[in-house]
Amino acid sequence: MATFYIGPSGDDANDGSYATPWRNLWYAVAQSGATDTIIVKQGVTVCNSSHMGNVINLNFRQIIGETGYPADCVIDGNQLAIWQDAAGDEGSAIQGITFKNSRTSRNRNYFFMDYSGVVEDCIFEKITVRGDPNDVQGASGIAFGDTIFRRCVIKDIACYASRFTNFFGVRPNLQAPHMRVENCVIVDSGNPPPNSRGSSAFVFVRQANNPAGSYYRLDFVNTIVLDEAGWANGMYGVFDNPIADSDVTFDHCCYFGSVFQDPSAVGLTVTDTINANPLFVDAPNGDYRLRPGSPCIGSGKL
Amino acid sequence: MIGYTRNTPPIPSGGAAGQVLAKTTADDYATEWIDPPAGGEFDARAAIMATAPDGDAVAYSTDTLQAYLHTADQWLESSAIFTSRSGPADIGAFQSSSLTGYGPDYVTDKQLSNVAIGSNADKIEGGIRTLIDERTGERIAQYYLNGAWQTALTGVTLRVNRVNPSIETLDFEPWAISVTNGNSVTTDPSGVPMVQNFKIDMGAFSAPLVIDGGSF
Repeated sequence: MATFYIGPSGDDANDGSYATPWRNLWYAVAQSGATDTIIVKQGVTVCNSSHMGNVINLNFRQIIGETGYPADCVIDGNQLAIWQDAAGDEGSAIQGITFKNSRTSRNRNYFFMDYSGVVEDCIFEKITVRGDPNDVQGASGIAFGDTIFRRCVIKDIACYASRFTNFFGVRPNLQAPHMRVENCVIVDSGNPPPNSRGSSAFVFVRQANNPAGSYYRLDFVNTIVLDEAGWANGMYGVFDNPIADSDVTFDHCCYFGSVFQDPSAVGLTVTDTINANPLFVDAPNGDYRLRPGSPCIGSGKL
Repeated sequence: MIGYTRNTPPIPSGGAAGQVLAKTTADDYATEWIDPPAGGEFDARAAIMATAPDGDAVAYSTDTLQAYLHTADQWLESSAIFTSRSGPADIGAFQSSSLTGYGPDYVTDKQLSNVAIGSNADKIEGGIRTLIDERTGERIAQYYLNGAWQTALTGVTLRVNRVNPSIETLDFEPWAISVTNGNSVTTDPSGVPMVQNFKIDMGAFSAPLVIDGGSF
């Protein structure tokens, strides 16, 4: 259980120590073991963009910002999807980091965690997720699979060139993945990709081509969704016959500038959710604290 | 030369030492010598009540230790009781009074009924106050204990803490919350407790707790 570092002055020729950190997250993951911890030092670490298409497989790794505050520890230009896709790998975590100016390779979700992983206190900004316009199975988005997002800000995400474009892409399977999004702010990511195909929705459940008995669950709790109006199928969409079961819930959430095209759609449950301006302090400049008088103050589920 | 003229009525003759001149009617020069009015009566309560002074009067009951005021043909009784004490009265007339003896024991052995607790700007150990939590618009009660205002527990629902919280459970993650101020150990990405006064906001950042116009 060693600890390694990446940082603003890093170089992948270094030894990954605090004094001489590495530069790229993918390199740190490649050099570390499954249960090691990778700490992102304070400052802006600009990644090398030459590794487009690679995948970071977290296994048990912990990737943690040095100060615990995402505003302090920034990874700029990470070009990799973060995956957690091996059984028994549950327990990885990403905490206290800002990821910005990222881009995944074709048909890669930014997060793909088939087995439980936790993402806490992170900011994701200006991330482009590339789909596959010809993939009848694929559904591309920011997250896919078994992931818990807590206290994260997710903004300005572009998903394009996907047959089934979505922000949170879900596809039921026999592993019954369950994603939870707790106390997050999701903002300004609903720009419909101009070259997307098929259906799109903020939350999109792709039900076809799954074995009978498949199941998927996605819960939004205490989460604010702002300006996600661009999706063709609104905030929730289901494609194909529901041969697989799925449940998507919005519980004690706030959405504004977004719509549920069909709040009574199969599999969708909306509870104690408000459609009102959350009154952020300064959303255009990334200040998502709540102003006095915000309807979101004290309105969450404890 | 100063003296009485022939038409000046004289002061009435007679009178005794200590007597004073008093008008007998509204007519000019209608006067007589009378004893000066008494300055107040000290007697048992029953004796005071048995009197019917001609006009206003004051009295003090030596058995009930109360003061009495006679006006409009009736006796009025004070609610205060005079007690023997070497120092000044134990309740100052004003909160800002600098009376000697004004101290933490100035109200003792009393029961408060039909009173309401309001704001309290003094940070004194044992202080109490109520105020509006501007985050929620709800009134809360606080005690000043161990150097900080602590929120009283009201309307709290305790839940069983899961030893191994799982993503498959439908409840929110179990919070570790201080029972004294209602704040969670877990903070938001800017360091503010996610749960404040047993309330949680929507979104990633908690609004700062605002009390009496200030922020913590």
